[in-house]
Amino acid sequence: MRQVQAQAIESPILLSSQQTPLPNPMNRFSAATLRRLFVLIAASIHAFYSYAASDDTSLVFERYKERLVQIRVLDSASGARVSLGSGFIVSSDGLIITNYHVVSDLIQKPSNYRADILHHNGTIGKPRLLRFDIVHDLALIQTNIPIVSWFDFSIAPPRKGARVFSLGTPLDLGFTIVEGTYSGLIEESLYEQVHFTGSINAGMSGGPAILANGTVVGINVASMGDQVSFLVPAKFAKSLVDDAKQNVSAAQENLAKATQQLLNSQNDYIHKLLASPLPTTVLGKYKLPGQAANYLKCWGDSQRHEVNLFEIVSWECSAQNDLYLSRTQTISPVWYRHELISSTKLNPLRFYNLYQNYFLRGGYGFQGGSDDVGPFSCTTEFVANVGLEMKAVFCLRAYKKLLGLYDAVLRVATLGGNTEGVQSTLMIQAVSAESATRFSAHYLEAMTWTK
Amino acid sequence: MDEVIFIEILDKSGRVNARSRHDHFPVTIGSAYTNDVILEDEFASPEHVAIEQNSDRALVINDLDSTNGIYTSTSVERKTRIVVAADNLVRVGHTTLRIRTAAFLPPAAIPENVKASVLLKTISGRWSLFLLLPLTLGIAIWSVFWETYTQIRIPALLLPPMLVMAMILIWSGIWALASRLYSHHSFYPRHIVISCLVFLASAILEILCGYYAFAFGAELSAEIVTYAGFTALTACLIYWHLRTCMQSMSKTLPIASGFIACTIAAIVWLSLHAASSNDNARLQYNAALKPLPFKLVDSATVADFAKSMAKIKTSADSAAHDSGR
Repeated sequence: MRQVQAQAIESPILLSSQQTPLPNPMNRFSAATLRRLFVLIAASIHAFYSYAASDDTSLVFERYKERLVQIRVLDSASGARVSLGSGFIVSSDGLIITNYHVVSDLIQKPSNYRADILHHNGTIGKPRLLRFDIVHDLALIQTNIPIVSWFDFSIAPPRKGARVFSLGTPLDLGFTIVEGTYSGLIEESLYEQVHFTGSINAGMSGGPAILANGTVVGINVASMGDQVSFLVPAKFAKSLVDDAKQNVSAAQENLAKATQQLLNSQNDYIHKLLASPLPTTVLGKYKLPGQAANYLKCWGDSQRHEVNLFEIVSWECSAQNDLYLSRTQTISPVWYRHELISSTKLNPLRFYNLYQNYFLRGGYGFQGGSDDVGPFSCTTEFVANVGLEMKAVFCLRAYKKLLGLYDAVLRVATLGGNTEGVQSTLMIQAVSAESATRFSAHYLEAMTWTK
Repeated sequence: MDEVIFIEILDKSGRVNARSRHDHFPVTIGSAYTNDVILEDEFASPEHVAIEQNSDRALVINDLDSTNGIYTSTSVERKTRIVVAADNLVRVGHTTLRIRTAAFLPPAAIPENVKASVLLKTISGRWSLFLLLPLTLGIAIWSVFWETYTQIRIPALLLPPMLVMAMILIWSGIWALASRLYSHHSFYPRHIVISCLVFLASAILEILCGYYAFAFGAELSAEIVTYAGFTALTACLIYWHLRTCMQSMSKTLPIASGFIACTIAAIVWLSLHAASSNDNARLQYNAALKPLPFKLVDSATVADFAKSMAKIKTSADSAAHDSGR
């Protein structure tokens, strides 16, 4: 069974951005009074809610369980379940919203997989895929089971702190409800997502997150554990539904559509990155590409061990949003890392031995099976930018099903330092070859000496 | 008086196992006790053949209605009668016989000083052994030191070179045993010298190719040169070892050594290539990095490099297409 989509691991920075700013300093008297007043109000609100919560939750669940479905993806050959996910009914004619990653097998290999829609009352129906949005991890399917009631989308996003109930079918345990708080849109995110403080579990993917009045505010998509979960804003699901209702006879959804969606989203961020010179950060004597956009999270680290005759200071940026493409391929759209390798104890020849070995080491953790992507092709050249001599390697591999998309890696080693140098790696995934090339050149142009 | 002949019984590799002198004809050969030459061969009849002198005083081997007949070494056709020539071989049962007559003229003796090549003789003196062994050990230690980026610990520094030396001594020892089996002498020092020389040459080749690759930004051609160089060194290694074992010059020896080396190189290349070409996650690049003063070519501008990057699309596309089949 597929676990709920994993998020990038390094998260503290992402979370800290959600913290509310400290209040402005006030005079001591009124601050203390206000605090007391606030505590009093908070305590009574809390008492009210804790009473209401258990009642509300079961009430909400009883009222809305009719609108939930479980989606079981089955292996065509054996009939065995391959994965479980949740979904919810959004119209009288059987439209169901779920996650793209729940039904992606049906899109990737329609001949190998089929799916069952299991309604809460035990009816089993067959799905028909109408629309999907690979970037926001959504899919719209239609089923033939009789519909009694359905969910409506919330017109405006709820206020931060609103109570939200996430429904789904976690771990094959039947239908479940999880209560949490709507913590607002994550603004510094490549693809819009909502932070939800409840525990979405495996199998709840595709389920709705609703307000007490039953309007959908988001779709369960991912969890980092510890009550940190993510929702897709309801507006993206709503636009899929609207589109399907307006263009009933639209062409069959296929992988070419996925390519187009990915290319469109790439237009949004790569072209913005190309618009102006990249901001730089300084590492040793080198100016290097810095935090290029607010959705990129950057952090540093250094390795100093007493036994080593060298040290490495590293600096790394990545977009927090991983993108699920297929069972075998989840990508990180933009990632780059600089490593300043220096030594005071090695002579230049010996240092460059180390420097070369470090440059040639592998282990980038690329995903993608031989069905998804071809092997990398590379070109290696000396490149000079404003006096900084570098050895640059650019590697590209083509997607096999999402034709027109590529993964690119740029590896750069600066030359000219006697016993120090920076090795920088840029990875961009699921982009056009032209974007990969242009952004790599843009990245190289941001690498210079500081002096 | 009749002619004197020698009948030689040969082993599988053509060496003489037994030799007997005959001056009366006919000479009978077979497995029975009554024969002049008794064969210990279950495929030989009791009275198998008789060597007779015909009226022209020529020697003729006659089949005495044996079960398995007689054959010459050059034909698979069963013969009933074979006229003895100066140097022909005759198969009786599973035994090979050679009839030596007065007409046989042995070749001139090979002078001993051409047995080993001049180069090998020069380098395999005792002095070169005392020079080469420490030099090899030194190079091995130096290369470990060069590749160590942590604080040096003497055992860690010495262990790999010691293993290299042990490998050289064992390898040479195996060849020395082969020499001893094949000729009268083991030539152990000479085999050690050969191994050390090839080891040193390969170490130097690798270093030079690394600098060549960096200086001209020519990683691919450096890789090819390295590969060809290692193949050539392997061929030299095999050739010199075999040459020392055989103690004589054979025309097929260089060809055989080259063939063996090429086969080994092909197997190594195929196994490396087959392992890597299926790996979608591996960045298949090679890049030499040395201090900047060693660079002899001009660097591209970022714009030029962007053109090279754009060209890679074609090969990435065809690689994806090829690997799909």
